[in-house]
Amino acid sequence: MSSRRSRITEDEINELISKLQSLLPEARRRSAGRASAAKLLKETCNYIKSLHREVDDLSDRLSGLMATMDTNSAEAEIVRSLLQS
Amino acid sequence: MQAADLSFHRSFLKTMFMGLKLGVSSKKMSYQERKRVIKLSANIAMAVAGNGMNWSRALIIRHAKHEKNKVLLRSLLGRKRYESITEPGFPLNFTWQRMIMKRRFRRTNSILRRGAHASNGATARVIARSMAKKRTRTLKSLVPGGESLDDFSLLGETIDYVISLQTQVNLMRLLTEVLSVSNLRKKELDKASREVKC
Repeated sequence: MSSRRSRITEDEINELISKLQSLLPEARRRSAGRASAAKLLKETCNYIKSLHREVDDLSDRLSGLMATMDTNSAEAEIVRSLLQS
Repeated sequence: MQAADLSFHRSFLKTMFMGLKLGVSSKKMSYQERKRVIKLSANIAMAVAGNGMNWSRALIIRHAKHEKNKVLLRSLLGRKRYESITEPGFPLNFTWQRMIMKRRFRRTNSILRRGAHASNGATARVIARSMAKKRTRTLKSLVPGGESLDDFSLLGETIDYVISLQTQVNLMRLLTEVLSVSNLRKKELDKASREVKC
C-alpha cells in the first residue's frame, strides 16, 4: 500500500549516500566511484573492518605500554589532566 | 565530515579512563587479559558516548552477554543504566529508532528525522534500487544492531557508527602517543639516574 506522497525520496537517499561517501578516506573514496551505491557499501564494509582491526591493534599497543604502569601513579594523573580539557 | 563533537570526545575519554583504572591491574594481569580489558573499555566508552543510537545499545548488550564483562560493565554504566539496557523485551525496533532519531539530530542529517517513519511501498522500491541485498547483509553484520533495521535506518546508523569509530581510533592513537612519550621519558630518567650513581 503506497501512499500518494513518498516520505523518503530518492534524493534524500542519495544525500545519505553521498554523506557516507564523504566519510571514507580518500583512497577508498576513489575506488568506490561516483555512481554505484553497491560499490560504496562494499567500500564502507571494508573500511569498517579496517577500523575494527585498528582498534584491536591499538589495544595491543596500549597493553604493552601499560605493562609497567601503575594506574594510580602520578603519571596516570598527568595523562588524565592533559586529556581532560 | 561533521565538525568535531567535543562532548563525544569528553565522554569517551572519561569512560575509557574509568575502565582502565578499574579494569587494569598490571601486577597480576597477563598481556592478553589487559588487552581484552583495554578493548572492552574502548568499546563501552564509544557506546556510552554514542548514547541514543541503536548501535550503541546493541554494542553494550553484546558485551553484557559475557560473564567476565559484567562487573566492569556495571561499574562503567552504573547499575541503573546497566539494568535498563540489558533488560530483555526493551523495544529494539522501529519505534525505538524513531525516538532516538529525534534526539540525535546534531550528529546526523536532518532528513533522517523525517525518514524514521514507516517505510511504504514506494520507499522500499527506491531503497531496493540503490542498495544491493548482498552488500546490506554484510553491512548489517558489521554495524551493531544492524540486523533488525530497515535499509534506510541502516544507512543513518552506519554513518553515525563510522564517525564514532573514527573518533575511537583517533582518541586511542592519542592515548598511545601520550603513553609512549611518558614511557620514553621515564626510561631516560631511569637511565640518567643510574649513570649518576656510577
